[in-house]
Amino acid sequence: MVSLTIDGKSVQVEKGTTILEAAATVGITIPTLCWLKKVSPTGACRVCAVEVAGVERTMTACNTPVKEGIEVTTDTPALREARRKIMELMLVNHPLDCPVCDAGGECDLQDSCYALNATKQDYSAILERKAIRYDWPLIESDPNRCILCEKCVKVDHEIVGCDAIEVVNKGEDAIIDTVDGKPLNCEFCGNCVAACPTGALITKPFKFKGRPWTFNRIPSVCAFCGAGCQIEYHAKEGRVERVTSEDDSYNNGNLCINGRFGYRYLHSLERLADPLLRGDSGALAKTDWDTALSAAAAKLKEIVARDGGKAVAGIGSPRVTNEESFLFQKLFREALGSSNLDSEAGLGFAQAQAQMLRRFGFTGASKQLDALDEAQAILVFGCDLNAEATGAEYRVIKAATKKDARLVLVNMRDVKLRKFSNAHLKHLPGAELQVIYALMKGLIEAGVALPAGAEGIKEGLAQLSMDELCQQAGVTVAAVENAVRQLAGMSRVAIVFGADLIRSADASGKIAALADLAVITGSASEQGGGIFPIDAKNNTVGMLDMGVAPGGDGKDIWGIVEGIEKGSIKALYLLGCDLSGLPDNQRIRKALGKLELLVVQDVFQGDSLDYAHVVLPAGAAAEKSGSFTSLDNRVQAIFKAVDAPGQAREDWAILADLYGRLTDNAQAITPAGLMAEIKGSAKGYQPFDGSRNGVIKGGSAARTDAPLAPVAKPAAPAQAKFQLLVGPIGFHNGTSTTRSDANLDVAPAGFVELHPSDAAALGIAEGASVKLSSGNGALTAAAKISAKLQPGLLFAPSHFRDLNANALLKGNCNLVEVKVEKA
Amino acid sequence: MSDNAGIKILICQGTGGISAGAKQVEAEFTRLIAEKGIVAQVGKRCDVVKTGCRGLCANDVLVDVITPELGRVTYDFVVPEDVAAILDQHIVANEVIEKKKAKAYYNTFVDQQMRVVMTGCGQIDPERIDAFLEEDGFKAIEKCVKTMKPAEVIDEVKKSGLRGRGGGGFPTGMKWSFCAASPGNHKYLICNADEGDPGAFMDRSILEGDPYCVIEGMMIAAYAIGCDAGYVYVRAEYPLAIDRLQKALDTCYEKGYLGKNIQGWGFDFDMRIKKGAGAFVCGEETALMASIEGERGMPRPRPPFPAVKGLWGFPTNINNVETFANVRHIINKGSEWYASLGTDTTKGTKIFAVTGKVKHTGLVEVPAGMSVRDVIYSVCGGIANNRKFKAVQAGGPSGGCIPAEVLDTPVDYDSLIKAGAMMGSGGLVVMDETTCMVDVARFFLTFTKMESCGKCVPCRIGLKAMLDILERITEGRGEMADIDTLLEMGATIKKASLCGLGQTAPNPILSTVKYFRHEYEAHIQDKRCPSNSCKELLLWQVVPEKCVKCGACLRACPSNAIKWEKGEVAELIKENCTKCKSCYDACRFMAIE
Repeated sequence: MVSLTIDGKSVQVEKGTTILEAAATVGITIPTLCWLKKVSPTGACRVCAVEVAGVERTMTACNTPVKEGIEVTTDTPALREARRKIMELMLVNHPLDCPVCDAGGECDLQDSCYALNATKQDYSAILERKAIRYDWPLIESDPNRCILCEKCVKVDHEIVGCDAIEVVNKGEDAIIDTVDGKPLNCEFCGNCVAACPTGALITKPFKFKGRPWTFNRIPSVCAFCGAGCQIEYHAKEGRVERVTSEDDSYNNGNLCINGRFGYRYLHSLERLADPLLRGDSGALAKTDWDTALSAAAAKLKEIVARDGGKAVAGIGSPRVTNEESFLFQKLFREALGSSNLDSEAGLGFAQAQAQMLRRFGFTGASKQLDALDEAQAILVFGCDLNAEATGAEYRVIKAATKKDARLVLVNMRDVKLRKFSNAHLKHLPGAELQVIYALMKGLIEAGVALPAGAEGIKEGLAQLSMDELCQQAGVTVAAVENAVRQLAGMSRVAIVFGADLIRSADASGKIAALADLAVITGSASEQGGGIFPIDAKNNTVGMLDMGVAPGGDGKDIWGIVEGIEKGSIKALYLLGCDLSGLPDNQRIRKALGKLELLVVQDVFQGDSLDYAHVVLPAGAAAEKSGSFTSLDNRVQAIFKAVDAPGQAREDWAILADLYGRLTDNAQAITPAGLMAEIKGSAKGYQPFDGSRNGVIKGGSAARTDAPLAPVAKPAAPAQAKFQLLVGPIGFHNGTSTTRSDANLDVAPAGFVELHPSDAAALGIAEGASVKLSSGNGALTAAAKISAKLQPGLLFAPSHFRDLNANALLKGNCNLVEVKVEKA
Repeated sequence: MSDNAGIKILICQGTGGISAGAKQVEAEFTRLIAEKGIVAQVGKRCDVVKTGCRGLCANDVLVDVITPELGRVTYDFVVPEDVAAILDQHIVANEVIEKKKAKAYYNTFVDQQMRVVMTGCGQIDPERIDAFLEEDGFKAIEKCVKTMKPAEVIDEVKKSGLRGRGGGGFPTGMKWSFCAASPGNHKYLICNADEGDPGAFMDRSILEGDPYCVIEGMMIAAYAIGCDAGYVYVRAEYPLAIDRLQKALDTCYEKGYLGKNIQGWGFDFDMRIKKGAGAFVCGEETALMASIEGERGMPRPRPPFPAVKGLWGFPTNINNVETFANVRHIINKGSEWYASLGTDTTKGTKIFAVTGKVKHTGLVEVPAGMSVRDVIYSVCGGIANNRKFKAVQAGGPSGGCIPAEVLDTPVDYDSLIKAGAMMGSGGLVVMDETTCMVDVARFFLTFTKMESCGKCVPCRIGLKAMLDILERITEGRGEMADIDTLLEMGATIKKASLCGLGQTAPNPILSTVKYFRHEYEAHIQDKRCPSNSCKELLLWQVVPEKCVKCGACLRACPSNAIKWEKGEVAELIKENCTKCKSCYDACRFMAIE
């Protein structure tokens, strides 16, 4: 500890603390402008200059560490004068277009001038106006308003790890621009805009939408991925016009493109605004709620009465609130007597969670995402964290760059995190198990201590040859040894795994093995780094907690499809799930056509509407209240910001109405009442206080006493000439954001990525049309040539309905053998 | 010279010499020596040696002819046409060509100096390691490694009193001890050769003329501090320096003076060149390191200091070229000898690049403590064109202007600062009565404004605002309140800027206001430039009484604005005049104003 005095108050702080931080501990605020807590100090604005007794020059508090015994003065007439002069200098260059500036009213420059009494302008200079960059997508840059605090650059470099913008030119010509001067081409997370203290960087969708202070700010939780980022909706006149996040939020104010710009889907022309009913003419026609719900209820009752509850099935949604999921399963189990309930989690995440539950006794992740900050090593397995949970990726980047956590990637393709990684095992498609075993074997050979009861795994691993495992996985022994070196001896190893693993063939077995690897690394233990199953949807964990899953003799998603095909299931209720966008959807579409009743309750007009009998328009996350559970078990409340369009209602309200009709017992069902019920039944929700900051779900204490999965020689991965991997990309989340004009601005359409060597062999140039066909379907799209893949591996994004890459897949596997040809 | 029996022809081939045609002169010597069979004629070896800068760049090409009979004779302004005569008359006939010989001022120029750092410069072939070895090359590092502990080397440098020659004047031994005290096995040593001050070319000449002495200096520092890798950060505008230094490094690796286990002494040191892209601010050590790392060359806040966390996060020591070039002499001749040179607070010698309105522009090395007057008048021959001395600008864009009243200021760190200037890297720009001090301030401020990296507010915006005021004043649109605004802004910028560039950039203005306030006032109140320099304020005319009817003004005028007949007083045609000042500069009788 270091002792010093600041403005006469004595302060004790840790060595390395800055004067600014030390002052804050005793309630002394030193003015700042370029300082941003979440990035390294810049020292550019000089506003935080303070006096240190015995030092001739003033020192900038933001970057000067404390020293034993120093006497700091933060406020003297001389300092005030110096600060005022700096503000005056800043205004020399700054256009006073505050009346039409988007940042007016929330501008740090305005506030600082006011606070530092810069009320007149003694200085002047001839100004050459700099060109405003109108040609960037989503973001507009006006260098004239820029005070060169570099916050945007630092956020871009240090938090997002994107390196898209930089200070270019020098002296008075210095501006923030792209490194090559071309239009911005980045992840478009907009964190730079959020960091900008002035209106130099603004978002185009918000430009001229209103003065910042005229909006209602409604705290909520981002409804895209599972990272559970805390946000504010800015709403006016029934429209959400902006989404922001505060730096003191759980996610430190950092969002991704979906969080910041995805809200534009609320304004999509494809929103469902009226209940629809398929009439005698065979066409869907607008109707009122009573008619629609009566029709649905009557038909459901008729089928249940005739064929029993088993003839009815429901597919839930990871997008809806805990309360809604709870009510949905209650409606099925209690009102309809059916356990044929599943969701897209049935494509992999539910099975992954089952393995975690079997092995460790918890659902979701073993720790919260902020544990990643403290990890000494992080293993990211089969996961493009940028696409699946960007908020988690920011934390991994922070750990790897600021705290030098070792980062090991296991993935068949390069992902963004590669540039921060210490090791990347780029294995052959389908060889995940080989890599897991190779890592286990390497760690045990490196002398990693095994917990009691885990000794048995040694024998099984001893039977396996490291050379053979590596050869089958297509990685070198040296690469595995390097990866092992990064992990061995670390007490806090975090393991993050995602869709590339979770949706792979035979994922359960691989995840069971990965769980055993986590036992060896101690990741799931109380002192460990944590184990984090990643899902790209916001409330998958909550939905599963609520019981939207086949229970008892209920059928899972493929069982339901089969039931429809066989005629045993006659009615299907799709809650926020466009089944026709799922894998193998040609088969699903055919099945949907056979249904006696298809109820579609959704936010958008999806492809399922073609087969629907009753369509119920629902509100999106910004249009309702309730709670979400993030992938790391944080239960957080969301609050209604605006009304749903037209007649659309909250999902819970629709379900409540229907529940009353089905049970002939209309009762007042509210989200609060549902949460009370949840607390009484679902494990761990009792402590939830209904706040946005929420609570960590209880009952997740990890245990490690389950037996290890037996180790056997894994089968060599299939040798296909070409395999297509279908998965998410960072610019979108699910299909929701394909209705957001902002996201479409930067990622308008589907494509097929292929490796340069394959492109050369096939004679396919960048942008040329390429045709892919599997046993299940075919697609044609523009080719993107990318060395991130490997020869024989192609990639297509899962989001685009026009591309419909999922149609090529079969069952739960995200990888499929394809034929590739020039189109 | 070890080979007394032979004839040596030393041809100055610094950048100045080469641009004056030294290569052609050398080629002519080589050609004619062979063609005329000189070696056979005189019966002695006859070596043509290209050397580094001799100092008197204004008189290039300088050729020293050393023969056993006549000793050393210097010829200046040599052109290829002179070569045959030098060979025939001087070398064969043993007869000095008095007409071509450098006049007495050359000897004054040389004799008044004290060459320590530049002993090799101008004497030896910078591209031959043997020439360096003959001058006790690498003896100092050998002495250090074999007989001294690293701490003893640092002590020796501390005792010598050597201070950083880059401008700051921080005690070198102390700086080394900081980095030596930082824990770690991997430390960097950087030689700052990003000489950016306008008019300064000391470091360039040393690298061009004696690169090995810098390498040896760095080796000694590396040994003393415990650095295993070194960079020389040279601006790309110095191609010859880079070329010669690279050759020297290659030769050192080839001969085992760099790399692992140097000369079997058990000492490892690697060196390489990093070319700078010409940003002035990269001379600032934290910006320089950012530049080496491939980042944008912007200063970083200190702490952490480079000695603790420098290049790529490792402890790093940075000195400039001249500092390193001093080191081998301190080790060879001892700290006591070195400390005996100079003044109480500034030891040793200092090289100055003297430019401007002085008779003999060039590089001079003098013991610290010589007065500014002696440097200008004794060494460099005083003011050109019989004009009056007005001021000397010392310390480059960060320095200040010293007027005639304080000409007796000794050249050492502290006295110069007291006089309102600074030693800086050693640039001295001499100004005569035709130089406008407001314009000088404007010139330097234009430079620093342009070279500001733009990071911190006071420097980026403050300098621009100050420059705008100065421009207004030189255009006759100033107000009296501007002077106070300049002083006040200058004080703020000095105090608040992030790095040395901004902290010193107002100095030229502050010192000119201090000493030449009347010139500012004349511009503002009388709308007149007392030195007839600021174009916007001038109405040119010929003063008939002063005109000697020589016609020099007509020859200088590019725009037909002078009417002159032989024997007539010149006349200035105002409509054609572009106020370019050419006639004013050409007139040696002050007949144009």
